[in-house]
Amino acid sequence: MGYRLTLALRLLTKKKGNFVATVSALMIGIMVILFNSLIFNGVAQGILRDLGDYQFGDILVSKNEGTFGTDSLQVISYVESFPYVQAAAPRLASIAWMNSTGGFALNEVDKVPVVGVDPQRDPSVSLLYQTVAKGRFLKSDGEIVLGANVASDLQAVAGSRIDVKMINSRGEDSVKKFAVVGISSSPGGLAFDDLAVMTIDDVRGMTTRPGQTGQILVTLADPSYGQDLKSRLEKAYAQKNLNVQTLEEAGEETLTGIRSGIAFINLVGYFGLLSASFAIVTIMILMVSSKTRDIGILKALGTSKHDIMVIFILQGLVIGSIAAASGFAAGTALALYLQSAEFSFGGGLELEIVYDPLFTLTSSLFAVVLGVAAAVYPAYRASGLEPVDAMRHS
Amino acid sequence: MSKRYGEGDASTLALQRVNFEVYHGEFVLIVGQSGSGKSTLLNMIGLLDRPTFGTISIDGVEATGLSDSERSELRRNKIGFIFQSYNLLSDLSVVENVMLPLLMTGQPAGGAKDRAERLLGHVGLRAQVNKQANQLSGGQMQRVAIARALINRPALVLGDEPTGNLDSKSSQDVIALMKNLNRRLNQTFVVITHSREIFGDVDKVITIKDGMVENIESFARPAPPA
Repeated sequence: MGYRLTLALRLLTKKKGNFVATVSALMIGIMVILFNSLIFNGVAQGILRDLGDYQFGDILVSKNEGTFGTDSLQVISYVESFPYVQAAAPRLASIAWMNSTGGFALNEVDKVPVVGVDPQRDPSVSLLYQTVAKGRFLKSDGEIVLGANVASDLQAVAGSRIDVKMINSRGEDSVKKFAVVGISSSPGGLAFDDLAVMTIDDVRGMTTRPGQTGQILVTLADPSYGQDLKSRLEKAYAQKNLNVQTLEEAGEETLTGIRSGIAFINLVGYFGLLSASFAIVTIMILMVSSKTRDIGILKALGTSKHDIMVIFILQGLVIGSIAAASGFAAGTALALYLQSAEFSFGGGLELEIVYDPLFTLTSSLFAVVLGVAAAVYPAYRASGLEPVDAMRHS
Repeated sequence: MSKRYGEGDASTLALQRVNFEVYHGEFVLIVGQSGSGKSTLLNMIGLLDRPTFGTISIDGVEATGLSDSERSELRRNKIGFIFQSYNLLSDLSVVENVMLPLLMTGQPAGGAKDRAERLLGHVGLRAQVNKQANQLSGGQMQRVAIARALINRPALVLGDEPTGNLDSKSSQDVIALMKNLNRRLNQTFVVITHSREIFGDVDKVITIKDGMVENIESFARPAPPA
């Protein structure tokens, strides 16, 4: 292998422009794949993070049909008995019609999703209370936090008073006045920008569903115990028709479309890398052409067809290896930079950049495979040259 | 052997019933005008091309029916080439060009380099071992080519107009070197040329005309001075 590798390197580096072009083509292809993966997986992870922080917790417990009654307290107590559980809290959702007279005009908003929370427990399971940009979070019944978009539609601010109407269990209108204590806004918009938050007791009272709970949010001190808790809950309450979901399962519907987009973007990236390999084939064919005389000399001296092929395939291996190493280093640097920079799009959703060294390495090694594959045809052409004709080539 | 190019009415008989032997230690010239078939003959002997009819044996090995890889191996081990245009690899240094045939036969690089440097000393190029091949004069490059041709101690060294691109002084130096190596090492040379006179005393002269052997002259060369 020694002299073949030496020849491969000498023939390759003589034409520095071609060498740089081929390595750059592969490296750019790798960087496109890595960049796409970092950004779009960062979007997905950021969405999942926000869903967990605001809407689902680490584990979301609900009923397959209907709602919890007083058994919600039993479930909460059971869950909180595990040392790896940080907290659990109940929520109950409904739909409301709201109006206010802010701005000396009647402003109405129909069918606003409303979430009822336990104002003492909820801050332990979600970061919803941190999204209050103006005013404060709930403390007691009769208070409401409006999502920024809802508040805008109602022209309401912290301190406003609004009318809220819900339909109770008997189908009757139930109207109550609420004091707006806070306006909620989140960068990624996945919190409660389009919802309203009141106490769970207010929702229960207005919808005449005393003691009912729609969902129980559970936050874990160690998220790796998610599946364990899920298994225990399902086993302990096998007859209670529970629906226990991890954050990934609960967020799957939201993420499905994004994952398809990520897969498509990654496919585009891999096609880009494939295109780079065709560029390498073209450049290496040109290199074979420029080295025709040398190939003829080598064959005249006794280099076999096999060895000529090995020399050119080694060139592909060298190109792929350098591109892989450079791509791996650059991809790692990019990931670490994006992590430290807390990257977000235009002040919106903050990406959750996760550096996956195995994926980075795999993508980089793909460049080695492509480099070798791209060299096969040029190597075959080189090995087939007749030495007498080749040596006449100027 | 014979060599025909092309097929049917468009074919050309480049060589016709060429038949001769070269013995170990001989210095043989193949002479003829341009287009007489000298280069074609040399390519046949050097296993760079295959005869259409007939056989070629090199050092007892019948080469005609060998596969491409077997012919490459035979060239590697048994044949050295000296080309008119030197045909050195410009990407390699002088010593790397010379040791290349040794590396092809699997010799370790360290030993190959030592042997190449010694041989370059024999041809008067010890001071140029680390220079790039394309930095040398024509005469120097041809001496590198001679060293490369000899490094594997081949059964046969083939020269294709080795002085064709050299001035008269360099030509005389190269010819003197080849004949010196022929005498000292008993190295067999077969050289094609269109100017027989510049080579002086040789063992055999084969005259080619229109693809056929016109004449073979054998000579008893005078013994070298004591």
